[in-house]
Amino acid sequence: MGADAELVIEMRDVDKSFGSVHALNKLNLQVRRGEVHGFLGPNGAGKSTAIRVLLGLLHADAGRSRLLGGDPWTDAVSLHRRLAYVPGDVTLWPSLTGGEVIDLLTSLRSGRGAPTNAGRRDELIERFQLDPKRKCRTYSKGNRQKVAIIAALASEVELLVLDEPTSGLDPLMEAVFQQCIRQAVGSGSTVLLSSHILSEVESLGDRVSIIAGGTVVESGTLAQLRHLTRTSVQAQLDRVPAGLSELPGVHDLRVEHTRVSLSVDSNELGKVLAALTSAGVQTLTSRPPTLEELFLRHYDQPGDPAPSPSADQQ
Amino acid sequence: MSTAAAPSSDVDRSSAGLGILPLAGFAALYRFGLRRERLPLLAWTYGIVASVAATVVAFRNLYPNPAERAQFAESLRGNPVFTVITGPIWSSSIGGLTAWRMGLLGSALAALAGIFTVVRRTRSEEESGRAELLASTPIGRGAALAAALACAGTALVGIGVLVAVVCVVGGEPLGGSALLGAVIAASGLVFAGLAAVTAQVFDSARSAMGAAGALLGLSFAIRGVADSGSSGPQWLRWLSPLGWAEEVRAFADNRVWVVALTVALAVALVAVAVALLAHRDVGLSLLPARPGPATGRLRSVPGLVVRSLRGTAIAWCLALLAYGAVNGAIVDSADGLLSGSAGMREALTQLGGADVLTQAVLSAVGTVTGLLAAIAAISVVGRLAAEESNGRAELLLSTAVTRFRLQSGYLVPMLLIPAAALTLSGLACGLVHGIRTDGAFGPAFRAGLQAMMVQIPVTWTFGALAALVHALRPSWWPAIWAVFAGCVLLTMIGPSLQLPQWLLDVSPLTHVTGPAVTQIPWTAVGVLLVMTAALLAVAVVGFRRRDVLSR
Ligand SMILES: Nc1ncnc2c1ncn2[C@@H]1O[C@H](COP(=O)(O)OP(=O)(O)OP(=O)(O)O)[C@@H](O)[C@H]1O
Ligand SMILES: [Mg+2]
Repeated sequence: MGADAELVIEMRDVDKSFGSVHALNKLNLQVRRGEVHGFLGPNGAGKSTAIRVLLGLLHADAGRSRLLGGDPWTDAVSLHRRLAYVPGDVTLWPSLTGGEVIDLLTSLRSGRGAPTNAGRRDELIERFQLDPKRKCRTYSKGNRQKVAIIAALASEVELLVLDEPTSGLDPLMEAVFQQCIRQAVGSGSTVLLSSHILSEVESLGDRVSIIAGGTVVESGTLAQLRHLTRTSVQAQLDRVPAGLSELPGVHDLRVEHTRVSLSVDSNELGKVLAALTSAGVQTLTSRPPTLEELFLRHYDQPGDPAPSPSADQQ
Repeated sequence: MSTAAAPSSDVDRSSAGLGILPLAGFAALYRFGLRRERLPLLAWTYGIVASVAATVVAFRNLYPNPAERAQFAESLRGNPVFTVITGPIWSSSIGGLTAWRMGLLGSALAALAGIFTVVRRTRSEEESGRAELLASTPIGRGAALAAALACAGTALVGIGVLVAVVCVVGGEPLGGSALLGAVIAASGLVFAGLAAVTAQVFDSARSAMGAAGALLGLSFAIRGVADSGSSGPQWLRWLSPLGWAEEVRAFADNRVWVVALTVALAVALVAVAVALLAHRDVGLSLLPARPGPATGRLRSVPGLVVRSLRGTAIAWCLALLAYGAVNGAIVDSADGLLSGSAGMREALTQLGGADVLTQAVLSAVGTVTGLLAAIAAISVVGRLAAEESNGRAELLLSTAVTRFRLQSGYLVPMLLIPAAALTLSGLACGLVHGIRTDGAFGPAFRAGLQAMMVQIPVTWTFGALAALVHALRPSWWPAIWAVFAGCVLLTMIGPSLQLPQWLLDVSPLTHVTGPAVTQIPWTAVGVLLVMTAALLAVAVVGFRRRDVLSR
């Protein structure tokens, strides 16, 4: 891991409870400058709570949080000039128009009483096909979400904190959103993206943290995470090689005559394939792990941190 | 909430036609509503019934024999200071005095209970989107409104029955007791019906409650004018549902037909609400939204607050201005009373002549105006609380807006709006009073102006208390209204129940309410200002330290 200066977000052993609910439980999260960091986890895992701690809206009970080199609680206002936030459930002022809200939020964010870059704002409104003249009370959920996204992107900030930003967007708008995020990253922004849409995280995310029961249970690049999963292999062989079950990383081995089916830790796949090839392969099917399988493994057991090592510490 | 109405509602609208709304699911919603509202409803019930019981007991102990009561009633009949606030005395029996003390106040409290219950069960649910979830299940379009009215009705009828029982147990005649209970329940029903209408017309719960509450305040004020003295315009009482409540004359003439009229009005209002509901979509109002500007000139939190509060602020200022002018026109009619009672004239001349009476009336109308302005102060802080609970504060605070900037954006209007409204009310009252007596800008003008302006620190104290509750325990927000109602009751009925002075002193209202408006109670004003400043300071620090609520 690089020097601390590279970290845009750093949370160490952060605890937060609401009465008897332990929303965050020794949470560790690191986001590096310039990356899109996917933030995944089942409902109620603590994603939004972690984000609210980072925004200085909630005061953590214990632990250390750093954001853009400052303290999210005490330096909230100066930090907020450098970031933009899109909540998952956007409520707007019913009697203001979408355009008015976008200008209000960008003005407040700059802290200088002036909205930033009218050209960029208009371009985004165009790309997201938003009618800025309509009153917010008449917007559909997706359109309300667009107002918040446009207000965030129009600001051209160092850090985008997005909490399920695309819930309610149609597939076309989802594509526009992904384009815009890539552009923002291209011009140097860092993105923390909480999402339930795996394909979105897969196509945007450089690194991913999976949170369950208030703890980050997995963190690393997508490639690293794939390595933590198993590939399933089925083969029709000439003969069954000896010692297959002794090979490292082999699980669920089943042998019927010359048919072999097994699953293998992805980083041990090479040795297993070598053993199979030496036994004369007639047919072979191998399925790489999907992200879904990885996530579902954690989603199945919320609150039970998996013992597997965090890819960060490798 | 989504803007699209469920397609099924279109079908309902065309097939069912006007006025006939399907009620499927009513029973389940009714039970659910009673469960959700049980705490507030029990609190309203307890508050009203216990006040009636306490009043019966107090009059029993204070004035055990009829001669004493007759004398007490006679001394009050000619005293507009009391009648402006509590209404006329129709009978000097213990029941009659109880009806005088609690008939009007009980009706007003029951009306508030009706408004809160109906709006919370209808428009609040729609606003939160929960109603849409329900509307998609096999629940009739009219079921939510019917269930809301049934919840309010159950509680109000319960209150009425208990009030009657309490009076009968206290040894009062059955007829009057039943009628006192009935009038309180019926007044509550009228305003529940009115709230059902405003909940259709406005698309936010706040506006719906505000409109119904404003009409309640207006009803109270109109009948106050009628009750300002025996020479006051008595017919005005018939323009106000709360005036009808007085005209029932429980324990005196026992006019059942006025109760019947009140119930008929409630039914008519419900019919209007049903007709409106049949013509609108779930979550939307009758007033269609028009497009607005594509770019905004709003750049700051104060700008945003001004935009969202200006309508309310103007409405409060105009209402209190008009009310002040009316008050200015009635205060001098108190002089006419002097010819009515020889004993009273003598007593008053000893105290300082007709001026004393006029000043006492001014002080009383000032108190009522101050109460209305205090409601304005508390509800401005309520807007801040709402901004937070609906999640918009989170959005604002994620930008370069400090907690203090957001909070003070509402606390400054909390101070300015009641101050401006009371000053305008005082100017109007003083001018009209002065023109009718000793010239536009003479002592009468000053007296009228002072009577209203002396209330400003009281409204600030309530506003600051509300800010404190919001800053320290936002989940306790509704308690601020209970505290306010408690203070109003203490100041208004406390003295005639001969409660100990320390208890009366708990209410900020007690301190500036006195017969003399020519002398400003500087000590009390100073104490209230210091209290306001201290409460606000704690509120500012508290809000900076706590977690921000999210949706
Ligand atoms: N203000 C609050 N009071 C009490 N409990 C809360 C509060 N906010 C969050 N929680 C609880 O904290 C836990 C984490 O909630 P959080 O909103 O962070 O989850 P999430 O990961 O964002 O879920 P989702 O994917 O559904 O958005 C949940 O159990 C939730 O019920
Ligand atoms: Mg969430």
